[in-house]
Amino acid sequence: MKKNLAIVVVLMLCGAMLFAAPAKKITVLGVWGGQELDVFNAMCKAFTDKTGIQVDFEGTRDLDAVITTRVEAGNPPDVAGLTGPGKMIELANRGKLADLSKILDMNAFSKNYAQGWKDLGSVNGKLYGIFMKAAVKGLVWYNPKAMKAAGLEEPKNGWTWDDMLAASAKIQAMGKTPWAVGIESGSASGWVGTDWIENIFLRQNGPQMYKDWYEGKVSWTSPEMKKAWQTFGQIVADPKMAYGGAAYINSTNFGNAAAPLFQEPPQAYFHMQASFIQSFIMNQFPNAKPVTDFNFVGFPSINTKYSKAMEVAADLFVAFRSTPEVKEFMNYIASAEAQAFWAAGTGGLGTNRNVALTFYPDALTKRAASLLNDTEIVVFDASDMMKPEMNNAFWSAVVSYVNKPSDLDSILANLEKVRKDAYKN
Amino acid sequence: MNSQTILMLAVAVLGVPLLLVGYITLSERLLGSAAHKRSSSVRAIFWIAPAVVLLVVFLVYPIITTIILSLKDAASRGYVGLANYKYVFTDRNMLLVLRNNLLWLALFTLVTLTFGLLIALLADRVKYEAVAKSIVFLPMAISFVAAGIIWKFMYDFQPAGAPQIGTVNAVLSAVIPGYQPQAWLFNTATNNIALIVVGIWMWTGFAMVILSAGIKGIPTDVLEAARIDGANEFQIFRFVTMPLLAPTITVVATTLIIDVLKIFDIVYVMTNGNLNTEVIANRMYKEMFNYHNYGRASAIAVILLVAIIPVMIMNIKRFRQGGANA
Repeated sequence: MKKNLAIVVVLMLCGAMLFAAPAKKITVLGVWGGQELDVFNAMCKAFTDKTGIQVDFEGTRDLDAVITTRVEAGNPPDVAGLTGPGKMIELANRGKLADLSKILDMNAFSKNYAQGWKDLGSVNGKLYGIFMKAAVKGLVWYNPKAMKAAGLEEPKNGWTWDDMLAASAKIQAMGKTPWAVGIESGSASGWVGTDWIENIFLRQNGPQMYKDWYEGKVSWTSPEMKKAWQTFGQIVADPKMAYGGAAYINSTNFGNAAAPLFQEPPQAYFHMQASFIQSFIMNQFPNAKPVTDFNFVGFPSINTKYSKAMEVAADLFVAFRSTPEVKEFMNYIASAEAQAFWAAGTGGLGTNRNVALTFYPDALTKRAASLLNDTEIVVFDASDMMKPEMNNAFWSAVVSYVNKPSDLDSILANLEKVRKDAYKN
Repeated sequence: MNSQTILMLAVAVLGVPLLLVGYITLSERLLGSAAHKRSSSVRAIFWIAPAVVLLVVFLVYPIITTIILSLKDAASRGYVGLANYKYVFTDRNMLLVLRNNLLWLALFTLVTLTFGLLIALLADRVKYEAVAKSIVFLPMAISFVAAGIIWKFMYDFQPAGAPQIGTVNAVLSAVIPGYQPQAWLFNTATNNIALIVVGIWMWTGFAMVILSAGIKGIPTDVLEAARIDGANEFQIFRFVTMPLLAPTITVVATTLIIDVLKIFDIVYVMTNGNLNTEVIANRMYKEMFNYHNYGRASAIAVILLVAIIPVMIMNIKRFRQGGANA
């Protein structure tokens, strides 16, 4: 009797599901949580209202591993939001991604996007990724009020590395430390340091060598590379230069790393981070106002030939299937309408040119957005473009270098070994 | 929860038991019609068949596949012989990983066992035994990830002069005058030990509970006889308790060794293997999921398996002996 009852229950469940199944939906895998997830949901709600297609989102912080598992199991999501092109290139080379040029309105796409974004989203001439929610990297943040109170001059755009060193020396003369640095970030610890080295390397050697570097063609033991690390070392290898010294740098999460600028009295005056750190600062210090309480200038230029170069990072969407629903979703993602959600909600910079500056929440984000639109040389975060094992080794190497700068030669030799191994084919 | 998930849950919760009940009912029917004499040996085969099938599908087949993959290149296209094994035993970073696992193996197992035994012996002699044992056992109930996060806060570092929010540095700077705060997880001299301490904190409770049960199982008349013969407490421990407890200690030790070889979560959450703290399982995870080098990941898995086999055999032997004694 009991057994029969169980069978009836199973049949009823199956029946209910057949009727309850929604007509149209897509599945999206991404890393977003918290405020970013709210923005993503708002963006998807507008999409569902318009098209009737439901969006099922699955979030994970370990995106690489989850995508690998699902692709290998033959069960990929319809669409995934990646945090850099490296994973896209790998998946595209393995033939796992849908060619977007077949499902996007390419005329509109070419009109709305700078060639640079199109190139970054392509592998072997085929378009696979649409970028959105960009950030400008290598900005130097400061607290104008604190600098004024200490009688210091605010840094100006176009300042040089030597200007920066001179300003730092002035702060040291007051018995303070100039820089606040924090590179802890869970399983990605060290990436803040790779941003430092990338910005330095770009400004010392220019965009071509920068590209060669992330493509695995530059030796880590070359004099150029060593010089970039040592330049970085002028900040992090000197406890008088960076607040708290090596132990603090390695143990402080990047999200809290700007805090010493806002303490009373300030413990540091400069902080290098991408444009997205604004939302972290405003979360941690709700009373801090953009422009008056915190502001940014571009990364100090080193070789003036390359001072117009700018490093960016952006999340991107890729598709694993080209169903009609996915086609609608990807066209929506590429539109200025969808990107405006990120601009307004997170201050993420639009890659679609038509995202109006009025969408950005404040003057500072507007400035970052126009900076991105006007830049001559845009390069992507180099570590994100490297092969994953190279990228991982680079992150860890920064942690080791901060811990013991005198080990630089053996750290670079180890990276060179990883490069030779990872790029041998 | 979407409809697909509900369907799968229904199948798992209701379908699997139904299937097995159906299978057994059916096989009993068949046996009933067969000749009575041979039915008992045939029945054994019927009853054990599902377990054997499951073992082959979920254990034997993956092991063989892993061994084959470990002989192939990163993308599992062509055979590379023993190159992956050579990498594991010669690469500088891999050797560091193996060294760390040995460190974990020695320190974690010895200290956890010692503390577990000590606490079990001492708790046996006090009135508030239940409370004391509960407190020591509590961390066992926490997941490794949660423990890692808790201890990350415990080890938090702020520069000298700033308020210390990490318990370890806060206590030490309150007790020791002129103490310089330490970044326990970011100093190559202390970070491995700091991680192992978290493991010990979690597993001492386990060792204690099993050993405590072993101590309770020692007959009191043996202890009384020793006392009457004039043995002091230390002699009783050394010559009566220890030998009688030896089988239990072996079981606890082998369980701890198997655990420590698989250690992953604590390292993943707290340092992710940075600054020379990587262990075998983390390396395997990275090779597999981050670098997509299936060959090397499989080679590491095979080595881990081979390392665990002798311990497993020892454990099974102990179980058998225990069964014979009981």
